[in-house]
Order: sequence, then C-alpha cells, then structure tokens
Amino acid sequence: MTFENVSDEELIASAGNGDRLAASELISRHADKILGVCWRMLGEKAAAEDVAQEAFLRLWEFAPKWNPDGGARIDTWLYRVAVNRCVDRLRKTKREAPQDAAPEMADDAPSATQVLIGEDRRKSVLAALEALPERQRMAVVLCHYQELSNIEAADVMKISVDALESLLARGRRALKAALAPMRQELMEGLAG
Amino acid sequence: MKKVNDMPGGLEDREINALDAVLKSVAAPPASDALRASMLADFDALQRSRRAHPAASALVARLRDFLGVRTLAPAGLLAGITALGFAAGVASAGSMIAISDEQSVFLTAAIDEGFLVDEEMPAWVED
Repeated sequence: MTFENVSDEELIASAGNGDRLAASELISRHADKILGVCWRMLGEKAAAEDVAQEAFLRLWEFAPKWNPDGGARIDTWLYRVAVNRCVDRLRKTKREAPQDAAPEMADDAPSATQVLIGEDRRKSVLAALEALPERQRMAVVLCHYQELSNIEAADVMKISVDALESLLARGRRALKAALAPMRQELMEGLAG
Repeated sequence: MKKVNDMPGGLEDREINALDAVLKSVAAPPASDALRASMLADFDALQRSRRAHPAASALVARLRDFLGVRTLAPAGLLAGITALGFAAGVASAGSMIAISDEQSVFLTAAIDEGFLVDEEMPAWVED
C-alpha cells in the first residue's frame, strides 16, 4: 500500500483507529526530523533516541483524539513535544551533573558530508551549539536545521515571533563568536 | 531556511547564510531501524492495551487530559514526600518511645537506689 498522496492528518486518524501501516508511515516521514532536533538539542544520540521515542509514544496516545480542525500540524506538534522533553532532560542533567565535555558524535556510518568535513570541525560546531542557552539553541535548531519559518518555530516554542527573532539573533551572534577562530577552516571545508 | 530576517543589530543576511551552511554541514544521525521498530512496538503495545482494557484506557486518557499529568506531578511528589516524612516520623517516634522506656527503667532503678541510701542514712546516723 502506498501513502504517497495521503496527508499526515489522514494518517493520524487511521493510526488512531489502530492502523499499523499508517503509524509506520508516520514514523517514516517524521522520525529522522524529530531525532535530528533531539540530537542537536541534547548532543547525545542515546538520549536523543529516548526523547524521539517518547514523542512518538505521545503521538500514539493522542492519535484517537486528534482534531484536524485544531489547526496543529503533526510535525509542529511532534517538534513541540520533542523540544519540551529535551529541555526537561537538559535541566535534569544540569542539576544532576554539569557536563562540559564536547557532544557525543553519532556512531552511525559517516555520510559523504561527514567524511568531507573533519571531526574537529564537527566537534567545534556541535560544541558551539551546545554552549548556547537552551532557548537560543532551540530557536537555532528549529530555524536552521529543521527549516521552519520564524512563525512556525515561534508556534512550536509557544512564544511570539518577536521573541523568537530575538532568541535567534542572540544565538547567531554567539555562534558566530564561538566559531570565529575557525572561520577560515570552516569556509574552506565548505568550499572544498 | 525559509526566512532570514533578523533583529536590528543582528547578523547580515550574508553572514546568516554562511552560518546556516556551516551548521548544516554537520549532519544528524538518521533514525536507526531499531529505533523505528521501537516506535512501532510502542504503537502495538498501546493498541493491545486498548483492546484488552478499552474502558480503563479511555478513562485513564480522559483523566489525564482533564487533570494534566504535569499538573499532577508536583502534587504527587509533595504527597510522596509528606507520606515519607510521616512514615519516618512514626518510625523515629517508636524508637524514641523505646529509648524512653529503657531510660525510665534505669531512672527508676537509680531512684530506688537513692531511696535505699536515704533509708539507710538515718540508721547509719543513729549508729
């Protein structure tokens, strides 16, 4: 069965009625994006997988009551659940044991891009991202990596667009400053 | 990135686009087959639970929606701490009573010995 022309809303309605194939299709469509957000927020793959799984579990629980007229998109809803769980986890981790180590690297086989850019560069970018305050990191991750518009990202974070833009501006400035020492190397890496 | 407008004093579009390229050069790991299987297993488990206890799961879902898990969490934590404090209080009160009993035995014995001395004193004085 192909779901090419089936919307997320139709899939969630089917999943809410126990349709396993519809649930599987939702996972295919959104798992990578949600895991990506979690990984960039938490800097650790195992924790990111836990949170991504939790977000989907909430989706399954919520599926039978999903209101298509509510206006929320599945991906926006999933992002919101995922980033909130990430923030909860970051705060808990910070309370228990402050981590100052560089983020853990993905242990999957490296992609072509990953091979092109060196591990040092990867670590620098991820460490700069991890050093951002959590709300700024969330704004940067949603807008730069997930390619959400400012309006969509503000909706996920439940803040005004102005507040989102302020977080984004501060986050970008901090990233620029953190990455300044390796600017030349980064640019060469991207050009090469 | 769909939109690059920024706050006054923020970076220029050229810089934002460069930063965007740098950030995107670090790829996130894709969701593994094991993770996807776990997500689907959660779905299956929930369906089994709903089939086995349709009324109960509907009630739990309604209660959770009505009260809100996050709203209940602090109250639950507070209740837990209170119950723990009460249990600890009861336990320590029992041990204190036990110590008091023990002390009272020694105290009684000491008083009795004191009386013995008092009773012996006049006799000794008379002698």
